[in-house]
Amino acid sequence: MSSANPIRRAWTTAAALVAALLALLVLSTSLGPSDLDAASVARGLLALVGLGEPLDANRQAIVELRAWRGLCASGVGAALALSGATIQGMFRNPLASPSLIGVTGGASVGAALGFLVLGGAAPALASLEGWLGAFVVPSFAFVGAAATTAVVALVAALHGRTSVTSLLLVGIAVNLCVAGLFAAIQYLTLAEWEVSKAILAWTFGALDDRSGVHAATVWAGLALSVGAIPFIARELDLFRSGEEDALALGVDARRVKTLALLASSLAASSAVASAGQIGFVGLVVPHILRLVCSSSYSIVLWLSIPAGAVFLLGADVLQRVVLGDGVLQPGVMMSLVGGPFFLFLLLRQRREIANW
Amino acid sequence: MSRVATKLEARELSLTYPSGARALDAVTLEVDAGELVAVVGPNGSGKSTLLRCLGGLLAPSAGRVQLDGRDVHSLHALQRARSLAFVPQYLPAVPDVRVDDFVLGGRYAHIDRWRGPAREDFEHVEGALEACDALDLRSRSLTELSGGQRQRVLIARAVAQAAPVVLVDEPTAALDPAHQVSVFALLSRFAREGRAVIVATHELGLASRASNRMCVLQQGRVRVLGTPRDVLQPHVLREVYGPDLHIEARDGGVIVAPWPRAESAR
Repeated sequence: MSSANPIRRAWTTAAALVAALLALLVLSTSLGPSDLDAASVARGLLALVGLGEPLDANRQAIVELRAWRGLCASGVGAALALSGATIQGMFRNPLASPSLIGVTGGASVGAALGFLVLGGAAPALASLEGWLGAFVVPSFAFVGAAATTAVVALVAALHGRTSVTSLLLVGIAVNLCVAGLFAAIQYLTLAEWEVSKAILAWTFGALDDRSGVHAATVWAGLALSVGAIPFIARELDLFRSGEEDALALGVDARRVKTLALLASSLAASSAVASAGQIGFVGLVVPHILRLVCSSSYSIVLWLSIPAGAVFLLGADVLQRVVLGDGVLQPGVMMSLVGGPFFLFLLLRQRREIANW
Repeated sequence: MSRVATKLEARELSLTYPSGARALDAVTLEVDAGELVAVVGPNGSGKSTLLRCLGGLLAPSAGRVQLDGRDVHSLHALQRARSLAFVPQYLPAVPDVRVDDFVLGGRYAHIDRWRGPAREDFEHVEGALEACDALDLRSRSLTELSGGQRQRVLIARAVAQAAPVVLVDEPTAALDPAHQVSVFALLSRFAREGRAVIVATHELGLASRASNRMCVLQQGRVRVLGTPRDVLQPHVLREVYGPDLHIEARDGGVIVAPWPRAESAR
């Protein structure tokens, strides 16, 4: 906190990340099978925000689809990274992440329940069309995410401090419950092909066919959770030497944990509501930031937003360049990259593991 | 210090754990500004529990703790931290942070959320590190420090907190004799400067030299409370700690050392 050096490095990193994000957004919008020149892309984008004449309907639709894809990917990456950083601070554990402890799973079950409860209206909702879908699905996802986080927090912290072992075991248990519920919901919706397909697509994470509503959902959820950062960042730093220690320094521990739970659930659930389950962003991004920049949450929480955005959008752009459009769903891709990374973290910390 | 609290009082303080074990039993204790009170007693006698209750970190089952007439447990965390500093025996987790950043944590209750730390806060950190002879450690990581260095840094953080009441839990447990002496000298200085200091310790001799009063806890009850000379009577000590002690009054204090009798030595 006191020395200028890490803070200057944080600002430099932030500036670099924002520049990279803007470049990636432009690149993402110009990439695809139908060749659109830069001028058309620019004209289409301007028309999207109400400036100037749109392109012809077909080409305008393509530009818009790509723009929503880019905004969704970056928003989802940012929200998952912020959620992950917050959860790591709250549990005082760098191995915690929204997917590992079941928060994204809980959000998915919540969202799927939303489809189920709305029955006949579900096919329309699956694409988040209309105000009802735009509101109902994220709300259900949020309730699912918050409920899972609360369960994990309560059970894992039953005996005072949250140990790595108990946290991961509770995460496994919660993920099993969530998987069971999810399977039950899928079974119940088998007859309704459209709903069933929409729910299944969630487990892979989806970035194609995104609309403005999807992008708005994740960015709105992200904006709300960002509001919590000034009230939890310094506090989570003090949490690092133990909750009672933070309490003695004047931290209102209960308020901080409640705010952190709400913010991380809101961020994770809005990501899930707009693109389905995408794992590991929330684990990997805060780790990279700690390695590159600082371990202070006052820095990691803020930087996780542009870093998460660059990470997921960058991964999406990269796979579209290398593999062609839409070959791998982002959830699948992140699992393929994130799984080995998690193993690497475990190996790196094997001395700690011996003490679990 | 800007505000000087005059008195911390515990009245009939009891704490029973859910298992039914009684950690504190009707403890009554008053500490005034400028006073150093040492809480002593065997392991498990309730010293740490008493300190955590006094610091508002643990709610008692009965009785209350008042700071200048206000209930400590009803104070907001920030208000409480401005009045009471608590130095734990050890940190449950040692974060990888620079020593000066860690000590700045002691200023949490004083720092404006939106403006961040002010020059005054950094001055407090500097002064606290200097007072605890830890200025040379400022840019080291907390994880690299020895037990003694870490203890000095923990005390420095409490000094930076600038609270009129300081509660210190076994500060010398990890220290060599020279550092034990300097920690008690530091605590005496806090008291002379007008703070109310309560220290839980096993260092009976050092405590007898440094403290104004001593409180002997036995099974959660106050066995004796008074001046060191009154409290450290051989028959009291042998009853509380058992017979294997060397007790010798000297230089206004009492040397108490573990000293096996001939039949216990083998």
